[in-house]
Amino acid sequence: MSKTGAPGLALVRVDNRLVHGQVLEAWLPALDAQGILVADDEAAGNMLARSAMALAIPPRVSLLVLRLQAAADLLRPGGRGPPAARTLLLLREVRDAVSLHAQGVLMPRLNLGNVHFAPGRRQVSTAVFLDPSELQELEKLAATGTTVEVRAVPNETPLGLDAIKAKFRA
Amino acid sequence: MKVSRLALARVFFRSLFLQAAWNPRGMQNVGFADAISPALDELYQGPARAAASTRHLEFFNCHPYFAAAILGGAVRLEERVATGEAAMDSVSAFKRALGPPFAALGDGFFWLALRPAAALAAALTAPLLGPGCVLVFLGLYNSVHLAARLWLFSTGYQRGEGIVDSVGRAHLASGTGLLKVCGAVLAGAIAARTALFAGAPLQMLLTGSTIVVAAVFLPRLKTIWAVYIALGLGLALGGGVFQLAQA
Repeated sequence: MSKTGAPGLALVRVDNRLVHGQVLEAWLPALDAQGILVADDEAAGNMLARSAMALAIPPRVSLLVLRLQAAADLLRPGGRGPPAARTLLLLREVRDAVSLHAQGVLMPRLNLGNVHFAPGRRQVSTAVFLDPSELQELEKLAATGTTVEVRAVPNETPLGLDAIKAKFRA
Repeated sequence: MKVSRLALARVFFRSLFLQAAWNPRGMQNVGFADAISPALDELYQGPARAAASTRHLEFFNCHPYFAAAILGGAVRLEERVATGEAAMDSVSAFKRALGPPFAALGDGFFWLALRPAAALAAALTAPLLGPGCVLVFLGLYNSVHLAARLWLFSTGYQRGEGIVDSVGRAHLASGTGLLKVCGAVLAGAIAARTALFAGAPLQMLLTGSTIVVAAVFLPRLKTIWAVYIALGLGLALGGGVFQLAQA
């Protein structure tokens, strides 16, 4: 778990549900993370979502909810960096991770936690569904050196990109 | 437009079966759409009624008890949507915003704090009650669980988006911490008592090694110090109870 991306990022995770039980009860302790950065336009624009997240997060952990562009400005080289020394970055969609990476955010590892079903998406694990273009984007990310994995909780065996592709074609 | 009390009661009753049609694609979506339908029946007719059900078949997942708060709030919002006071997608936005964070609160409080504490408290009564201790567990757990569900549902309905405020004022986090510490004390007490009362050396060895293994693996779970102290206190109490019994 020591591979860091942008300085201070403990993990970059794609999770449609953003802040929920798996993240708070499993990932925060496993990563020893002190902060959560949610980079999502909808959550950033929704007061109710922000206050509910703040309620669920343990008091010792800092929470920052930003629009995707603001997060990119913070995290790319030369930016002010994430709020806490070990921050868990949560994104809603695969395309958000692709966009951050394209803007220069270092991403040695990308974790896919929950990507819900949508028309055109095929199931690759219990909680992850991908469409062909998303799979293609992930392959491009992997080609630049990002390790892509599907893993809901830390103690689960991660599914690598080859296994994801095999499941997709099955 | 207001939904009748009977419809509210029916929505609450159906919410108890929220996970009956759980599926990987929509998770609790079918359960949610089914639970809210007595309210939708009163608010919409014809194609609008069908459209309302379709809206509620979108993805939804939450803690099954905390979902009651969202269900209550969704009924309140649907009343406003039906009169045109609120936009149709406001209900979806409400469900999406609250589902995951409320799921985290519910996991922490019910699964990781209340359930173990209630089970351990019931286990403590096993020497007295025998298999009856199962009833103690069911009574302890469900009295809190059902009361919480009812409160969440009615508060969600009465306050709508204000539910976040109400849950915030319920100081759930401190309750979670307290229950975890109580659970640790009870676990320690039961472990110590079992080790000391066990007649056969093999049983004592087994219990002893279980305690050692727990002590080795707990730090890997990053358990907080208060829980260790509570566990130690429980071990001491359990041992002390034995000595009093000897005297």
